[in-house]
Amino acid sequence: MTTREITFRDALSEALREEMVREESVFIIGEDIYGGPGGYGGAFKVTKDLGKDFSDRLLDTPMIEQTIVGAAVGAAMTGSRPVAEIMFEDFITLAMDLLVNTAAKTHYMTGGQYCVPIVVRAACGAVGVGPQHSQTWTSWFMHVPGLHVVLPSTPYDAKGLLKTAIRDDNPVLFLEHKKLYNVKGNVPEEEYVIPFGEASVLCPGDDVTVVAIGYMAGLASHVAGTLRDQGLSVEVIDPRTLAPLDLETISQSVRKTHKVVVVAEDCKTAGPTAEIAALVSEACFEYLDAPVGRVGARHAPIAHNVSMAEYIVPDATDIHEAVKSVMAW
Amino acid sequence: MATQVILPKLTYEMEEGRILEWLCEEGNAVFAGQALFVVETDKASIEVLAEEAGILLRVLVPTDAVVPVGTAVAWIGAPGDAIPEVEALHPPKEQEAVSSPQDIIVTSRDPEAVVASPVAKRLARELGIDLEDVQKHVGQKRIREVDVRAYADARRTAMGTEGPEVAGDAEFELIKPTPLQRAMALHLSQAAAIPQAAAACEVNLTSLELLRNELSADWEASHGFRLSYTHMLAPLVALALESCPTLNATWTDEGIRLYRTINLGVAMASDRGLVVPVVRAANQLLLAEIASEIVRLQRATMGNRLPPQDLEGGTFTITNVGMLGITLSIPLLNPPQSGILGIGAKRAQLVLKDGQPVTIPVTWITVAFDHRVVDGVAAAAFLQRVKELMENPRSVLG
Amino acid sequence: MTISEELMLQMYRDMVLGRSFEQRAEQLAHKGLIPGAFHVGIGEEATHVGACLALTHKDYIIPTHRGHVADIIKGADPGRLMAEILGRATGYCGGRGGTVHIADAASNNLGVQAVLSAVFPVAVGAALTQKRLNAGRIVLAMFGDGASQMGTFHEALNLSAIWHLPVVWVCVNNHYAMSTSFAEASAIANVADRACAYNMPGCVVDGNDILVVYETVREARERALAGEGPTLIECKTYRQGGHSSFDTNPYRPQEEIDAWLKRDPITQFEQRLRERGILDDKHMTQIADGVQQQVDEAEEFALNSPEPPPEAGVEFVFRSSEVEEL
Repeated sequence: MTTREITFRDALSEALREEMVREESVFIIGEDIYGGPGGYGGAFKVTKDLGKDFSDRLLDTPMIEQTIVGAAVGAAMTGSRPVAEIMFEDFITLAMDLLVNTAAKTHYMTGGQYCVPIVVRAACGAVGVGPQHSQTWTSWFMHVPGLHVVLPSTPYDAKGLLKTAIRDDNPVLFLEHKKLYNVKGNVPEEEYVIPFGEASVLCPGDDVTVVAIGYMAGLASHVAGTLRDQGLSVEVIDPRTLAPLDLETISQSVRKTHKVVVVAEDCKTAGPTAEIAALVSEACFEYLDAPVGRVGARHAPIAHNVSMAEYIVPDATDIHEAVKSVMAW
Repeated sequence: MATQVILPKLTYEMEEGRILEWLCEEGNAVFAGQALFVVETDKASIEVLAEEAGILLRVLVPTDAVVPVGTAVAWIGAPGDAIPEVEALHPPKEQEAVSSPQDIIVTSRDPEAVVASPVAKRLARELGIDLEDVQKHVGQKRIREVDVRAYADARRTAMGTEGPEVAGDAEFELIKPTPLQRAMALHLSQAAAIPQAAAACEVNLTSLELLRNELSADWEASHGFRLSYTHMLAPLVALALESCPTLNATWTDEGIRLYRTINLGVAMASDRGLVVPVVRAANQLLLAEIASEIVRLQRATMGNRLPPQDLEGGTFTITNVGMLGITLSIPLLNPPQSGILGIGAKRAQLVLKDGQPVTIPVTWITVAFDHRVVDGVAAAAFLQRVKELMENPRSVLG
Repeated sequence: MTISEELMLQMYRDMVLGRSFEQRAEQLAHKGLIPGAFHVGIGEEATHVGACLALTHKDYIIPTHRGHVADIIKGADPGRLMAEILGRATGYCGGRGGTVHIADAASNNLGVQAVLSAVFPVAVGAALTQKRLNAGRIVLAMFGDGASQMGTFHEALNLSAIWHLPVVWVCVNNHYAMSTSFAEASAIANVADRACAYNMPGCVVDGNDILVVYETVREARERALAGEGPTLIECKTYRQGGHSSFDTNPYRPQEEIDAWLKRDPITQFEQRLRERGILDDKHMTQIADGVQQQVDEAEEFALNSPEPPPEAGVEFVFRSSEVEEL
């Protein structure tokens, strides 16, 4: 299997391209994703290379988040496989009803008569763009029966998971952290898919488990390296999909290490870390040698000022401290 | 107003004492100078006297409890005096074992006082360990898995158990080792640190059996006891050791001590366990003398009258486990000795003699040796010498 | 456009069936057999039946929560419809949806949207697929005057216009959302007046005149199929009962109710058909008996249908799709 180094963005683009080639019914709908002959190519340029070859499949819309997602639902119910792009995850609240009440519930409400194979892609994460352009929200959506929630942390994961998302007959919220778009990684030349519900063990270890979500996975791996030099063996697990969640891999690790820290960029309060901590506590109680540690953003919107934002959003130091704290219990 | 009775410092080095016996009960009237309780110190058992007259209102520390000097052990006062609910003057150190189920401090035991992680609790349960013991061992309130394991290791080392770490939820009876057992456990644990090897060879017992039969005829009448193989082996081994001095030695940091005398330890079973009394200068004794000495030692052992000096100074040990039915033994070294010989059970072996099948009595003899002092060649030489002597005993014993 | 006698009789019968079905369902609601509320569409039959008959089987429909007759005309079986309303296992959604989520994929009924704002984007999306596939189908989206105030009405109508999507927007203006009258809620007199904001044809019709509704929707359908884009049709009608079976509608003036009762769509049409000699007493009896029997059978089927097992409540949350490995 040959691999080459490409960016997270290009990996996404390849996934979209391959799936559009594979299925006529796949199209992309969103704001500024095509943008005319030159092609704006999406706010984060994910669709930039696709306009030329797929001009009829990239549909630019007015500023209508509700209808972007809602139209995707209607199209999906009648045979299409749309990929809707929401520019910033913060804006997804505009389309909450269509995502949570319509997309997630249609298959159920109609007793299985209709399914909604949509992918809603959105850019999440804090990069100094202010309180309404920086959120990562995942637990809201984990909370909704009928939705799949996916956060890749590497180009390899991004491509494989996006392809699976497009082929999934269920609505998928696919979150792309803005800081990852330019990150490079090895991606095979050959086509491949990554199933949902399979966590990835980024580095094996024996002393403590760190479950790190999305962008935090990379940070956690970095912290694990530092701690390894200090004699601590850290196992980093990236769940990759939060719904469905691979609790088995996480539990296996906790049964080995007896200590665990869960890390996410979401607000710590009622974040995905809370759900995972509760699940781990239920599944592995008699294996725990310390309370489950959690790292998340402080309870505030993410400020415009850079040092404030950095104070609010978790970083490598926070992960490091949390691991040390759990070890010292 | 009630006054406290504290544990006084009764000797220069005394730091704590064990309450052996309360001589009065709560509610008793006591006079100044009356003996209240007996305390065991590092030196002796001493009676503690009441300093004032009054009623023994409350006993705070029960019998068998070990408390530091200065601990409040009782209250004396007038009838009806209120007893303040105060902490002991010198609350016991957390590491100190409180063997009584009652707490020293007046407040009752809080079942939640031990904080342990879930995995620590499970491990303790599986190993049959009391979390409070772990708490005292590690000296901290919060117990993690590593603390339970540390306690389990320490306990295993002290008791010498070599069982599997996690016994599961199986029921067991806990037996407290006797001082003798503890001493032996400690002693033999030292053997584990010595690099040992063993070598064995088969010995034809035909001649020895023949000689024994001849000698046995009037032996008992002359000596008052029956002649055993062990009696006969002792002088033979002692003689073999004369030509194999490294088997009669000890490795030390300064060098290898080759002992000039051969003090032969002879392993014996007693109802209290295994003992190895020593026959001094065995190579200078005749068969009858060695045998008599061994018998003396045996009788003393059985009667629990063996003086300590008879257990000291051994330079080599023989252990005849053949009488227990063991065919081949691989004995454990008896530190600081560099060698030990085990003798197995006599058994019939089918051989061809002049083309005809005959049975001969044979046995295995095994030497275990300190490989720092004795190598395979020396061990083999020793075995060969012992074998030679056992197969031709008449020259020595006859 | 000439409408055959046969079709007119069909129209009449369908309206009678619709009303009878609604009345029977309302009775069941009053008996406490329907979980939750039931929204009665008595009085609006001409709009729902007229619009539906203008469609072919292939066309998609998003009916309103009051348009049970539309479900039936489009092709749903009245028995299974009634069963779904009662929450039984044999209902179209296995009892999971109820009256406000009736859907029937076999007759291309995309299902009622209970959160009304979803009607507009879902309709637009469905129409988008038809356009992309050149499928020769349209989407009929039915919605009330209340729903037309939602933000998605604006987003979706605009999008349907700029993309020339094959959708027919039919507003069932019965003058009241729940209790809020259209006059109070709207800055303008007619929902269809907004059509010009989206550069699409719009018209107001008498929602109680079934022939007019039918013809108008047919024309809009042809336009959509020809690629000329959407049309906004406002049908002025009136619901004769309250918002739901629990609602005694004290907020509507009696004169208003009486005035509309005089313009009852079924009575009006009956008269017209009699005048033309298409309908007589014999027909009436036949139709009435036939409808009675149909509704009786539907009720019986529904009442005899089993409750779904409680555990079935967690089925269909996801559709399992085996993503094929390459």
